[in-house]
Amino acid sequence: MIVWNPPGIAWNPCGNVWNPLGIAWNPPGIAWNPPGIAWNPYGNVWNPYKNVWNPHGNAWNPYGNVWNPHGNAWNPYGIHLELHGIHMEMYGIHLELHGIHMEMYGIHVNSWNRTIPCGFHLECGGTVKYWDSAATITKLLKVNEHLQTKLSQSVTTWSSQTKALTEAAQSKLLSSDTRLKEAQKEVSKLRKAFHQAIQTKEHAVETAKAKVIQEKSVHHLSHKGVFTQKTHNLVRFLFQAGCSANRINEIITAVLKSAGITVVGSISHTSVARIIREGYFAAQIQLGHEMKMAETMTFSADGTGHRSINYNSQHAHMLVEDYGSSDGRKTRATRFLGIKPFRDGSSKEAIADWQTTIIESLDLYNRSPFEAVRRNPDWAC
Amino acid sequence: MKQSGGTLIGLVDILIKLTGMDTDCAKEKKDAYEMEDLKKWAVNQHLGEEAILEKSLQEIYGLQMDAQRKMTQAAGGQQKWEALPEATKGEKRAKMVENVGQELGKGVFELLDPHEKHLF
Repeated sequence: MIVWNPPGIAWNPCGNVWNPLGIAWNPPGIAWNPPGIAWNPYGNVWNPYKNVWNPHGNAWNPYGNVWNPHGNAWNPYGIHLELHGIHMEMYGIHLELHGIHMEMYGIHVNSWNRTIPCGFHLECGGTVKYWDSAATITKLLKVNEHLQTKLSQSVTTWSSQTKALTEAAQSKLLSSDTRLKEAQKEVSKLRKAFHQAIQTKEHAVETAKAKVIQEKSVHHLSHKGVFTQKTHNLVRFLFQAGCSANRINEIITAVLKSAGITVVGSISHTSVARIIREGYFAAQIQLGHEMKMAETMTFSADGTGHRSINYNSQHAHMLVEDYGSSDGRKTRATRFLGIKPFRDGSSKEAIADWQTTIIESLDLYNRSPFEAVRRNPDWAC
Repeated sequence: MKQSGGTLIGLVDILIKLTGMDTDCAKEKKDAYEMEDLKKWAVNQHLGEEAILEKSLQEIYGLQMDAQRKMTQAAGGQQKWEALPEATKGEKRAKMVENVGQELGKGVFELLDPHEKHLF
């Protein structure tokens, strides 16, 4: 409540009853606003901006910055003026107020700092300068907001990317760790397998050695009930060397026993005789084959008499296949055709013996399975 | 001259490969000469058989008839030939065939050049 009404004077330009006491402020009919003095060109609204009022009826110039050119105290009665509710809003306006000097005599202006939305501070009683950088600030704010938005987006993006990268790195790390563990397990497994393989190999070698030694320490004369070819050759060699057929088994056993070899099986004198006969037929077949394959040959013969009986030995000389070589090389050989008694010492009988010997060998050869297979390769097993 | 697999080998095939004989006394030297004659017989037989195989049936028939005629004349005529026993006639026929081959073989051998003769 503002009470300033002097006695009988009321100056409310708005015509309103502002006196709460119901006292007419201008009872003498004195118009304090004489005609012709337009002090309020706006018709009762003395200050559309509610900033300043002029109680002296002087034309005040709300736009001219100077409202009291006379330097009169507009409130010479010690009127207490309270200005409140003044509100100034300046948006986007750059206002410079300078050079204004306000002198107030005896007037108490109860002003208080008012906060302008732009953040400016109004100082009363001195030079007031308004630097309205609202647009700049707005622009800066917008830029700031944009930067904040971009920064926020960047932070969000980087956070998400960092999170994704971290997760990927953790996943890779876990995968690597898993693979490393698997590889370590595999290495351990392979190392164990390697050692086991070495041990198995050594064991197999030792077993094979023991088996070979055991096999070497035992000689089998026969295999599945049939005398082996080695036994055949050994019997013929011993018989050719002069061993008796009845003692060949004993000789074989004794010789092998002295070498630390146990003989499995035995061979009888009948088997020895059969082996020797087989050797004779094999020799005849071999002789027939070699004579057939030879390019040329020569014969030799010599005869002697024993107790009125003539004996004649016969040999044939030729180039034969070298059975010890694998390249089909040929070597000279002398083949024994036998010692045969003949009736007399005539040349005719000698030639007849030659013919008989040759024909017998060729006959055996021609009838042998060896020659049959040679003539008919389809018969070979 | 080389015999290969596929046919049976006989005495003639071996004797034609014979190139010499070693002996150490006079008696066996005679055996060697006998063996040389046997070798010549085998060579003629071999060449004669090859020559017969190369001739036609008419030529072979002509050779047989000629040898038959000579054999009959040697026996003293057709009547005496007919009077001979069958075994004797069989032997003489075999000898006749052999002689045909021998004669052909001798002719072929004579036609060979010295190098080819040396091979036998």
